[in-house]
Parts: sequence; structure tokens; C-alpha cells
Amino acid sequence: MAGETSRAAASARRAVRTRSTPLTAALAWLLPGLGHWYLGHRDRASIFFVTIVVTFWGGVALGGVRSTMNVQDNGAWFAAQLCAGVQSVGALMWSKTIPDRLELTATYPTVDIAVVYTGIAGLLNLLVIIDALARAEAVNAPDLSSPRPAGGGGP
Amino acid sequence: MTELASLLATLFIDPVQISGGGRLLMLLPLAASVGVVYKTIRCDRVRDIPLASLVLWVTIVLGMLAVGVILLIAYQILR
Repeated sequence: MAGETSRAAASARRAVRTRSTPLTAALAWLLPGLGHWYLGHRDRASIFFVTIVVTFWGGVALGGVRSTMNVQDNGAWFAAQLCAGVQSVGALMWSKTIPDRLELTATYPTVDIAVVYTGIAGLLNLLVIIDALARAEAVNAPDLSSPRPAGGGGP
Repeated sequence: MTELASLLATLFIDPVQISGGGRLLMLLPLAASVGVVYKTIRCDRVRDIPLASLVLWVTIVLGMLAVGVILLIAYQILR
């Protein structure tokens, strides 16, 4: 009876602590730090959000949104920029609305610095996503420190 | 609302001209971002993050300076 109660308590504890790994990954991509926020690491989530968002939009501010979010010219860097989450999609959609005028086009070296800033922001968010996934897996892993139920459990 | 739109246009639409030493100075905030995010992932305790990030930031900046000096020397020799 006591073993059954402790098993039920452990199961309830696990149910409360369990976090969906795909949802964690989706949230972590959507907004930097949101995956960690979902896992309960609020302090880390705030640091990730501020650092990555400031780095990304700092890059956009340097080069202008039209030159920075340029699929044709930036090649592989654009894939890195997309890792920064929904903000990069928003910036891309915004860049499509900017007219093709010379004064709104960044020149060397500004455009390179801007693309590197936004690309690094995306790659940093990729690291954060991987860390959130690892933490979600750790939360969902069975608690090996709790005693095994009496009577075994094997075949 | 119009003022906000105008401010956004100035901030994020008009590119900034960077030249000379300014482009080297742009390394500093980028290295800080890398240091803060990396150490936020690695540190077990949140209160350890500021010092660890500062140490990593200094390490990155000095490392990049060293690489730059080495490449400059190699360029001068091979030129």
C-alpha cells in the first residue's frame, strides 16, 4: 500500500515536471528564450531573449532591413538568420516592402557587418534551441534516484 | 504613431555608414553577445554568468587581436 502510494506520488511528480520536447523546440525557435521559459528557467530565458534580440536588431539597424535580409545576396547567411526565429521572418517580410533605392542600400563593409550580426544572432539561437532540447530531455528522463518499486518490475 | 513609424524608419531602414576603426570596434558587442549566450548555457548557477561572460569576452577579443596581428605580420612578410 505504501509502495503504491509512493509510486503514485512519483508518477504525479513526473506528470507535473514532464515537458513536451517538440513544443520546447518550437517555442525556442519562435522567440529566443521561450523554450527555457517553458521549462521554468526564467532567468536564463530573459538573458537569451535580450541578448539575441538586441544582437539581431542591432545588425538590422546597422545595415538597414533591406540590405540585411536579402535572400539573393546573402546565401548561406540567410539560413543562419532564419534560426533567429519569427523575428527574422518578420524582418524578411518588412524588407520586401522597402523600395529599391540607392540611399536605402548599405555598402561595404556595413552590409557585411550587419549580415554577420544577424547571422550570429541566429546561430546563437540555434545553440539555445539545442540547450533547451537537452534540458527538456533531462526533465523527461526517468528519475533514477528514486527507489525501485518492491517486487521488481521485470519479466 | 507617425513619430514612432518615422523613428523605426530611421533606425531600421536607413543604413549606417561604418568606416575605418569603427568596423573593428563592431567586434566588441558581437563578442559580448557570444560570451553571454555561451556562458548562460554553460554555467550551472545564474550568478556566475556575469563574471564568466566577462572573462570569455576578454578572451575572444584578445584572441581575435592576436589572430589579426599574426595575419598582418604574415601579410607584411609575404608581400
